[in-house]
Amino acid sequence: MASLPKRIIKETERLVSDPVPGITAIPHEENLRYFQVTVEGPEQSPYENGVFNLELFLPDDYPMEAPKVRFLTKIYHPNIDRLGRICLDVLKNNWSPALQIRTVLLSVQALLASPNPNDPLANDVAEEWLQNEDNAIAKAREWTNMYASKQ
Amino acid sequence: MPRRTNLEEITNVSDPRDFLQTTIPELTDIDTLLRCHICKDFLKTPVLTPCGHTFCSLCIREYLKRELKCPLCLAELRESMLKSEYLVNEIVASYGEVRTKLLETLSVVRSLSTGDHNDSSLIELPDGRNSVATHNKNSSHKHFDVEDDEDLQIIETRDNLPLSKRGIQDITTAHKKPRKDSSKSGIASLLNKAKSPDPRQDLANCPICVKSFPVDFLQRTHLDECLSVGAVDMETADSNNLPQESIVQSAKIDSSVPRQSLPSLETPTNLHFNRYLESSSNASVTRLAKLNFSSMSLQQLKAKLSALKLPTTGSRQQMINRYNHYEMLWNSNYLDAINPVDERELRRRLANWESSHNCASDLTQNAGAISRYLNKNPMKDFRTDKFDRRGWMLAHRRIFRRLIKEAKDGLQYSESTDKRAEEHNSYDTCHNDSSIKDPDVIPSNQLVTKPNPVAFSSQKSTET
Repeated sequence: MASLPKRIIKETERLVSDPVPGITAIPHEENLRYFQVTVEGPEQSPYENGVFNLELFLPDDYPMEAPKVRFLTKIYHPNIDRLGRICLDVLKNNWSPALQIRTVLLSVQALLASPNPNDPLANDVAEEWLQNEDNAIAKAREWTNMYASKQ
Repeated sequence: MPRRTNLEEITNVSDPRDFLQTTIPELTDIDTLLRCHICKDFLKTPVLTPCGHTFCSLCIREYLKRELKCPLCLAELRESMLKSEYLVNEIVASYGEVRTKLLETLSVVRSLSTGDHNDSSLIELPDGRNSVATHNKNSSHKHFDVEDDEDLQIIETRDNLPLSKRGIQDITTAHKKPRKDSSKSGIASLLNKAKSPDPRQDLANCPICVKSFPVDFLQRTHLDECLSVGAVDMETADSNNLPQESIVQSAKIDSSVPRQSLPSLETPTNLHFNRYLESSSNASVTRLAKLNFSSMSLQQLKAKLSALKLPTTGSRQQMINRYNHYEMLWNSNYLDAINPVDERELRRRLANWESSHNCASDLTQNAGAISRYLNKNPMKDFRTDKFDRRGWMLAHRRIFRRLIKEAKDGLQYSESTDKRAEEHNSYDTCHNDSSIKDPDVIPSNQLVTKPNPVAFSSQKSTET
């Protein structure tokens, strides 16, 4: 396999030395393409006070190909399904090599701040979100307390 | 992925934020601007897109094999639209040559200004050197005027910055040596200067570079350096603009710090400027065409390769990849580069590329590349050198079998409930559903406790 590109080393160094507020990304010591990520729920969102674990993997063709990102912590969100898969344009069609791990994780955090039930991934959640938003938000908050509370 | 090579590479990585610790943190901006958005390294043979963005020739050509759009603004883009930017090329090249010096000089000045309060003449920088130097002067003045505790703060920030990097250095390795050295030499130079008499007292002209220096310095150090350093100094384009009076200052700094601020021996050659003036597109060499391999026999393919003096070994796919990569190297070299290399060098680069990419051989089709690789080299290590796949398979045979069964069930389940997601990303579906036991619990523990990406690939291979 191709050796680790300078770009990945550079990004990793920056992530560790100058982390984005509310986000940590730590490379696995055996495999510098695999990151354990935590994202804090944005303020004034139902995910406030929650800390969500994610995994991020840089494929061989990164940065030509988008990183693979997935939630490991259970979350009630119309664009994140029960398996943690994320419906986010920059992870799919709108990926560009000019983006980086940092920007992707910021987009994920922004997705938590503004759920988009009109482009759902978890259909049941999205439906609930559209029909009874208060209820859905309460449930999201409840799940955050249950699964993502800081300890 | 042998880690030794990684460590070697890490020591070479430069970052725009290196300048945050100098007297001119604003330089971070220009350091960032001169880098390619794809590889994040300094632009190498930069090319301009019609939408006005600049990338390394090879980076953007590689990307355009996948997507026909600009990585920055997503506007439509084709390889034929790229225009090389000779000016940017020379700017980056000449900047690259002075970057280390710049970094060292600027952090030296900083340690002088923070470390020494009394002898202001030591730190004062020459007027009218250039905007950079003027800036230095301002900041050093500021440092003299500030209160003690503010000074403390400055020292603190200097100490803090390297500290914050410790985290990554555990994983990688310390690589900021140049800066540390330079600050040391800064302190050393300070000590030297404290002992030396006022250098303005006795000046004499150097017989070689005809500039004024303190006699003491001239006899002890400068003559030797002036004789030996001439070649190095020719690169320092701006140092010959120093007004006479200022030379005293730079000479003092020179006694123990890098030589770059020495006045130059003669007028520096404007190497990059001249190269830019002489640049012209290479009309003589033609673009290497893209080939339609599907309608090509193996014989024809081999004939094409041998016509270019390329090896005709390996599988058909390997030969196709070889041609594609060579075509990219060729076009980048002859259409974009200001100083094209010869074909032999191109072939050498191709060989280099092949040896580092022999595993992931099918770059053109990235989908399923991992599983195809595993099928082709089932016993080879996948991610790490130490990984024993067979041992892994044997140890987890039962689990794998169960996962496959559950994956199949899970696929049907998610098709009915989650069709959209299914289309969206079959990769994730396979990976995730396979390890699901209770449909309502995210199968996280597996990867949380054992974050081994082999899980990604090995489960993927069960899909095929």
